Parts: sequence; structure tokens; C-alpha cells
Amino acid sequence: MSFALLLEQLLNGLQFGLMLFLLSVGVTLIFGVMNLVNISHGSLFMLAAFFTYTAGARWGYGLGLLVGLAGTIAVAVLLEWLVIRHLYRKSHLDQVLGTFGLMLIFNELVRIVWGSEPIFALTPDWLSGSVQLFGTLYYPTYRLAITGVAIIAGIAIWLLLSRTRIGMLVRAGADKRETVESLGVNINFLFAVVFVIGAVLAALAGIMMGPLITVESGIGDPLLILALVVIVVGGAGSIKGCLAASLLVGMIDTLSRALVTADFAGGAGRALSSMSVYLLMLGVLLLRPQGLFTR
Amino acid sequence: MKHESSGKFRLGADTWTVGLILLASALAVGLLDVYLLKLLGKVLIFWLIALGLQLLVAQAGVISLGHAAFMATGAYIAGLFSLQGQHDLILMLACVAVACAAFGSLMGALILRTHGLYQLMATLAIAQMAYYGFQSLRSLGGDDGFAVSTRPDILGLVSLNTDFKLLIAIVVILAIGVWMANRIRCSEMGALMRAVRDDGRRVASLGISPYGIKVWAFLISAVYTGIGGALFAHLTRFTSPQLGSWFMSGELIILVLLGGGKTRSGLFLAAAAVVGIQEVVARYTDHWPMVLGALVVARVLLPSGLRLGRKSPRSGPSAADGQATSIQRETS
Repeated sequence: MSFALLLEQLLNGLQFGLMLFLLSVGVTLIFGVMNLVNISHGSLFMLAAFFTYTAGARWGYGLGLLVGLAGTIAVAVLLEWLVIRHLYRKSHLDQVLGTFGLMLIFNELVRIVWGSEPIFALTPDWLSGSVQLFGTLYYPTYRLAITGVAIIAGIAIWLLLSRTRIGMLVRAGADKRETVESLGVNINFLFAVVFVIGAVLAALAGIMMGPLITVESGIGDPLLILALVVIVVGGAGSIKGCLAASLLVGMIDTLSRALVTADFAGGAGRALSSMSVYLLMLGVLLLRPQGLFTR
Repeated sequence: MKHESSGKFRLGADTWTVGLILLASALAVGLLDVYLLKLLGKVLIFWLIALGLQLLVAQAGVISLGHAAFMATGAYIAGLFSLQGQHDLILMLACVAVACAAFGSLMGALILRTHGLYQLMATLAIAQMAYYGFQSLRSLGGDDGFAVSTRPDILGLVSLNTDFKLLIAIVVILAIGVWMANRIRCSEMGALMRAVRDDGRRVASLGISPYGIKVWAFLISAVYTGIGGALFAHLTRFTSPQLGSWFMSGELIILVLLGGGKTRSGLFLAAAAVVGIQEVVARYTDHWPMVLGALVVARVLLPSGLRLGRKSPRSGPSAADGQATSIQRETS
């Protein structure tokens, strides 16, 4: 493997890690603050990609992006109000299966509206082509652009959580929910805000990932599982841990797929590369259950 | 335990219902056509799996999102036996039981070191690894799976080559499964499982390891699920890694959620409902998972006042540690 190829894979890993971060922030905040695992978070990712595709095909990419974000926020608000809000006080079994049921419903709704055939999401013209990084290494402009957007979104969420009042409340809620509640904060409103923040980031990831993957019903689900891995590795409710774990999982997933060839170890190569992140997750669960990147 | 003795009458009524269902199934096997036989077979197999899971989820209070791995293990062993020309049903099921007991106790021993939602994710992680493992078996069809063409026989005497004979065997196995689940439930082990679920520290203070009890519950449910998977492979004459996907794990747990933690006949109804939804709704539209999803969401959102049983007095702050589930409350 040449140096240029390795560098390209590293960039891909970084970019996939950042996308995972955008998706996982919502899941980890919801888990940390509300103590709820939201299996249907991947559906928001999927819906955003579909919304953007449809609106973008009709009115151009810029408006498609707006419709994708606005539509997902609307769905998220409705979802939180109708279902998720009633799950906070339920048992974990109810929560997991309730959101699992939601995921089944969303997947089928998408198949009813958009059909089972995968769609090919568009990239804006001005982002097609590639950029010469150096020497023989050309990298697609679009991938470079979404890496930039993801970094900006990451900084924005960090500023929101560490510099604003609402961010302070969210962080406090993740640490000691009961205390925040007893201080007179409207906990229902806070939960709704957290849910919508998570939905916006998942939507952003869905919109940006759309052109890189085949968009079809259920695309969010394998990524959601990876997001669960990220939460465990990074420690629940920790944003820094989530970022570090996302990059780690993104790198491992991308590099193991690129480096381990299919014939390695008698055909088990592909399995080993798919298993690698779960091995990491299991190791963390058993040896350091509070997460790799928390104190 | 007071609530167990007060539940005696209902337990008796449930046993009668289960007996009637088994008898009706045995009679139905003689009357149904091939299509309906397959359907009945599916219902019975999911019932068997749910029986094992009920012990784990409702009695011992452990939630698993990884039991599909055992279903796939059972199915693959059944398929391998068939490929190798080894057709004895009893030997095959014994191997499945041993393999799933080993896999189950290993998985249980690992995941039970964690708690609450982390435990759930640990089961998911191991099941995903098994799933990718099965997917990588290229000599066995890889992602596509393979056909299990030859049906087993019993001691070389009776071949279960028709759906009719296979269904009779399934009904018999199910009767044994129900009886064993009943025995476990009424045994000291069963009482310990409920005690561990309600308060692990008290059990520990009696000198009994709650961890060990939960590992046993995990092992038993793994064996039930594996045998269900082996029978499923022979019923559908097919096995694939999809049997081990996390969607399947979700469906299996849904069976216990819908069936409730208390009765075995409830589990039958749940299995019949899930299989029925798949078959009946699929006749009109491909979107049957939506109906299942809506059913689950509705069941979860129902106010707990409508649920069976009374609320456990200990479901206060201790519920937050992720061990107490609504099903446990139903059973206690």
C-alpha cells in the first residue's frame, strides 16, 4: 500500500469518524441526560437524507439542505412530544423496544413514500471534482467540504454546550439530573432541547453522508449500532469522549476494511475487520465500563 | 414467597391452557394443509424460544439484545449435520444444546459483569460479532446462507421427511420444553432467579452468588433459543446469517414484551400474533414490520395501570439502576 493511498484512507477515516460523531452526539446526550437509549435516532439520519434528496431534486441543493434540516427538526419535535417523552420514566426494556418499534415504523414509512430502490443523492455541482492535496494525491472536493462542515458543527456544539446557559443546564443534567430538576429547571423543556440538538446533528450527518452511500430504507441502522459502540467506548454523556471515540471507531472501521484484505486468514478477513469495533466495545465494557475517555 | 403461592391458581389455569394449546396443535397438525402447517410450526418454534427468554427476562431480570446469535448457532449446526449426512434428530439437538450452553454461559459470564443498558449493549456487541462470523463462512454460502435440504430422522427409524411428521416432533419437543420451563420455574433455581431479580444483595448476603444464578438463566435461555433455531432451519429448509441479525434479537424480545412475564399461554398468543402479522399483513402489503412496530409502541405506551399484576413496592429508586423492568413488576 502506497503512502498516498494510506493518507487517503486516513482522511476517509477522519471524515467517517466526524460523521459518526455528529450522529453519536445526539445518542450520547440523550443517554447521558435522559438515561434513554434511542434506537430510532438512526431514522432521523435516514429521513434527513431522503428529505434533502426530494427537495433538492426539485428546488436545488441549497433549498434541499434547508428542507432536510427543517423537516427533520419537525419530525424530531413531534416524535419527542408524542412518544419519547412518555418513555423517560419507563423501564429500559420498554425504552429499547419502544424506540426499536419506532425504527421499524420509520423504515416502512420511507419504503412506502420513496420505494425500496436505493436513490442516488446529489452533490452540488460546485463541489464535484477533486482537489490536488500534494503530489499524486487527489481528494474529492465534496469529502473535503463535509469534513470541514463537520468540524465547524463540532466546534458549534462545543461552544453551545460549554459557553451558553442552556448548554450548562444540559451538562448539569447529564451529571445530576435530580439536582437540576429540584433547582426548578423545566426538565421537559430541557429534554426536548437536547433531543432536537441531537436530531439536527444527525440530520446534518445524514444530509452530508447521503451522496457517499446508497440511500435506502434502513441506512441509519448500522450506523446507529456504531453510535452505540461510540457511546460505550467514549463514556455516556461525555462530549469529549464521544469525539475521541468517534474518531477512534471511524479510523478502526475504515482502516481495517482497507488494510485487511478479503483473503486474510482464510476468508475471515472481512469478518475480522467488521468485528474489530465490536471487540473494542466488548473490551471497554469489561475492562473500563465507564468509557476510555472519562476520568 | 407469598406472591408465588397466591399465584398458584393462575399458574394452574395457565398450565391447563398450555395443555389445551398443545393438544389442539397436535390435532391441528393432522388437519392443516402444507402452508398452514409451516405457519403453525413457526408459531410453535417462536413459542419455544420465548419460553426460554421469559425465564431470563422476566424471572432473572436480564435483558438481552443478542439472543439471535443462539438462534443462528442452532440453525447452522442443524444445517451442518444435514450437509454431513448425519441425520439423527436427537444427536443433532444434543449437539445444539451443548454448543449453545457453552456459548451462552460464555456470553453470560462476560455480559453479566456489566449492568443496565451497558449489559444490553454488551449482548448486542457479542451477537454482532457472531453475525459477522457466520457471514464470513464462505464455504457455507457467506451472506446468502445455504439450503438445509435433508430433514432429520429419529434413531434411523422414523424419518421426519414431511412437514406433518416434523410438526409432530416439534409439538413433542415443545411439550418437553414447557414441562422443563415449568420445573425450572418451580424449583429452587427458579425461586433464586426471582430473588436475584428483586434484590441481588439480599441473595448475596445468604451466601449465594447472584452472578452465578444469572449465568445459569442465560445458559438455559440460550439452549432454548438454539434448539428453536435448529428446528426453524429444518422447518424452512434454509439457514442464513440473517437469523443472527439484531432485528431478530429485537423480535425475540418483543415476544416476551407482548406475551408478558407471567403466563406461558400469553407467550403463545404473542408468537401467534407476531407470526400472524407477518403472514396476514404480508398478503395485503409488504409493510408488515410497520404493524409490528405500531403494536410494540402501543404496548409500551400503555399506562402501566392496565398491566397485569400489582406494582412492586421496590420499584422506586432501585428501578433506576436498569434492572427493574415492567415485566418484572408484572411477575412480582
